[in-house]
Amino acid sequence: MTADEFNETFALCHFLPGPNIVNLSVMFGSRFRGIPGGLAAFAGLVGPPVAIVTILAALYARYGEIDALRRILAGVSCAAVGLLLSAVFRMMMPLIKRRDLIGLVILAAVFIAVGLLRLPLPAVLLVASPISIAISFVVCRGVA
Amino acid sequence: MNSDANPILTLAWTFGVMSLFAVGGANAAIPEMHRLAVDVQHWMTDKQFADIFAISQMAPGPNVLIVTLIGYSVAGVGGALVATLAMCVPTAVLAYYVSRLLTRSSRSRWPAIIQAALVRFQ
Repeated sequence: MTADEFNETFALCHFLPGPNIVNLSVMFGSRFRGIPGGLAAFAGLVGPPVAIVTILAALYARYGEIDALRRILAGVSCAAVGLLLSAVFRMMMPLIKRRDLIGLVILAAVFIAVGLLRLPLPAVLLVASPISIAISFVVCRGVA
Repeated sequence: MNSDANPILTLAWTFGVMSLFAVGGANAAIPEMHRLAVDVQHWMTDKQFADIFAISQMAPGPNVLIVTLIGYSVAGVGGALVATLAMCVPTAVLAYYVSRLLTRSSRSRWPAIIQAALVRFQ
């Protein structure tokens, strides 16, 4: 696979729904060996971590009530939320730099709908995506 | 999707549908997972969800494995496997066919049209 092919596949995985890295591994594997290649890449990427996480889940189910463990997990979840916020910030910066007001308004609207009003994600996406695509379409045609 | 249904089937259905709407990867679906697991299905408390989120971020492997932990807490090892497969397989199949469509060039005009449309949105 060339760097260009990789970039193209990577971009496509971000556009498609579902866990990006899993999708990327399946596409990558299937380029080389078709369906068996895709299955092998999937099993290789997901198999061992699933085994580890299942063991962790069993340990949590058994020892999750221990006070020290609860406090450790509370600390880890703070760090994890911080990482998530920094990823959100990195994705938001291009919108701010380009002064993309429409993008930021849609971002805020989806955040309010999902995060504050707790509306179901499928419903929000089915409303917001067509609106966002339609606006981009109109704006791009205006520029071109 | 009522609560007396088989929990394994509920897991499969819940995460199978969710995967198709998880645009932007597994982290984008975390609020939706919280809504379904805590508010709708009452599978776990707020505190347990936060713990499970911490474990999934700490553990090796893709972040999507938070569904493995949710599945385990609902229905043990079987639940863990079913939740993981339900979250990964539908979109992996979709990715496989889209990838094949886009690489199997000249005979179809669709790949060029879709790719041109995507570039225009960027």
